[in-house]
Amino acid sequence: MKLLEVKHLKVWEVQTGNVIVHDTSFTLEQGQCLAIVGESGSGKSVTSRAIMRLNNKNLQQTGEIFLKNEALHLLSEKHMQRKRGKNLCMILQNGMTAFDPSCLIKVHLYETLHTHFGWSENESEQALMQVMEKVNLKNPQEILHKYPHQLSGGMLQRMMIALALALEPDIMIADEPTTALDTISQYEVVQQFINIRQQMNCAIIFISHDLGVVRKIADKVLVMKDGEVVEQGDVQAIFANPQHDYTKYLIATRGAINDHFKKVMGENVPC
Amino acid sequence: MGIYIMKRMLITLPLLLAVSFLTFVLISFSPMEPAEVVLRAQEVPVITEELIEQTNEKLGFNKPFIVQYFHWLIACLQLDFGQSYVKNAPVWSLMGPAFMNTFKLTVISSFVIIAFSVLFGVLCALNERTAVDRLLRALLFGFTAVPAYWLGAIFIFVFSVKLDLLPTSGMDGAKSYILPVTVIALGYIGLYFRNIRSAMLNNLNEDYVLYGRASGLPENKITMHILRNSLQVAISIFCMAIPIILGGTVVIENVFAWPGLGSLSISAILSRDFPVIQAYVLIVAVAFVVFNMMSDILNATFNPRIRDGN
Ligand SMILES: Nc1ncnc2c1ncn2[C@@H]1O[C@H](COP(=O)(O)OP(=O)(O)OP(=O)(O)O)[C@@H](O)[C@H]1O
Ligand SMILES: [Mg+2]
Repeated sequence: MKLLEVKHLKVWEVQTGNVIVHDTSFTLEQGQCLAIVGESGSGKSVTSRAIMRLNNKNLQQTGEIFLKNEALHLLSEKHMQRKRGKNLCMILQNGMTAFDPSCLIKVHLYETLHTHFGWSENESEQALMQVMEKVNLKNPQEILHKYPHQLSGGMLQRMMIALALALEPDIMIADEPTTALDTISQYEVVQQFINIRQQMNCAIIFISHDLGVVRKIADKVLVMKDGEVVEQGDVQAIFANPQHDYTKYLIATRGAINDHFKKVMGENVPC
Repeated sequence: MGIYIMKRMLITLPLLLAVSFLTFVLISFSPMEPAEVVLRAQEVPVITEELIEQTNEKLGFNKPFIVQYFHWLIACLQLDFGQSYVKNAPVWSLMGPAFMNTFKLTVISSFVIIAFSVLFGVLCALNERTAVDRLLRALLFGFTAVPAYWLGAIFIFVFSVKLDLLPTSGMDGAKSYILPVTVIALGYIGLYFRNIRSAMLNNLNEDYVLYGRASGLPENKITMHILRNSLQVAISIFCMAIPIILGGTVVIENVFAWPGLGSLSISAILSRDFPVIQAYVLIVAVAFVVFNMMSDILNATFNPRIRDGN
């Protein structure tokens, strides 16, 4: 069964009529990892937010989005809200800004878990202790009682992953989860995604500049340029035999970008 | 947190000292010799050298400047601001009641201003660029643009004279607060609600709002987070509003014949009653320093990043 099916998604700016994402279609199977790659401004974030119907009000979208055969594009805002978090989780690029800076970390987490499961603070805490262990966050108690600025970007990133694990969504959407991190934290976060892939049956949409990482964790790749999908298919196939000039260009230039990453991974990521 | 408050209070002490010194110096720099001012104020017919000597001796004007300052400061700390040159009464016996009258007006107005600024700010931000937003902005801007004395006069004419609902002037029971508070509040709400509105709109584009929505939090929870962060911007502004109003009631007090600091200071300035002017300037300056400190402490309470000192 297809888990997610996006058909003819189009996103444009209301005032100017400027089209940001053109006629985009793709599918995602249960447990699969789809990577979206492309240069800055190619519409990766807008596409991923369109799936959750979370783009800014000045953007409008048409097209069909089915999650387990349920038409998300037809849901009322209220029903859509229930899907967010519970079925579709998002992990943002910059952990440092993802949490309300004036509240303890636990506030967002407890509120989210309470909204979806009706859990008390105690129940939420128990659940979070378990998942935080999984993403290698030591001293969960202590971390929950910190403010965002007291934690590192990598820790906050893993905190978002932990919350996603507690929510057990159908799909995790990670918008460049490693870009804002130093190399060591990048490595840890990528490891977490690899673990999730191995341990859970959760599909992932992974947006990244980093083709080395993409090759490591994705099954399928979607290459975007100027709001259009120029190529999509299996990771191996695309890396071995890129069809579109733009994809060839990306693969040719990735060596330079990924050198630092390879070093830390300590493995042979073929170039 | 306790340590932060202690530190902040300790920093305030030298500031208060500096402010008091400045107040003293500025008044002493006035071109006339103080003894002469005193004698003129007391309407002594012929002012002789001898008389000036005597007055200098009596009031300590011939002592070194710094000694005079410390004498004055220590007396001020005991609320003894000296004798009024004109009224021949202790300054505090004039200043005390006037201060309380203005203070009451200020505090009530501030509450009204804060409540309505937040209300209108949130309302406009949540309805950005709709009719509600435009209408409120136009209306409140209009009230800010209109001079207070004119608005006051119109209100007195309509509500006190024509409709006979409220007292025209003076300070006589709760009802007499309504018009002056309204006029003061209308002047400031239009300025302050914009801060709340724009802070809320800025926060709307923050990542944590996107993440909150992406986590499926209901809109009312998200609005509370936005408000919490927006109020931080407003805290300093609101805290500073209180001394600004305290020192700026001159016009309103005149229109509504309010027996407060504004009226007192104007008559003191006109009759060169230096001890009264000195006390007035000191009180307003101290109010600025104290409320500035309070705003820092409140900000630290709401904003953990300030508390941690980065
Ligand atoms: N709210 C918006 N209003 C108008 N234009 C927007 C809006 N959001 C994004 N855009 C535009 O849409 C285009 C695609 O943006 P998007 O953020 O999806 O790019 P991206 O592929 O995620 O890039 P990056 O790698 O830098 O994150 C950009 O040209 C951007 O300026
Ligand atoms: Mg992006």
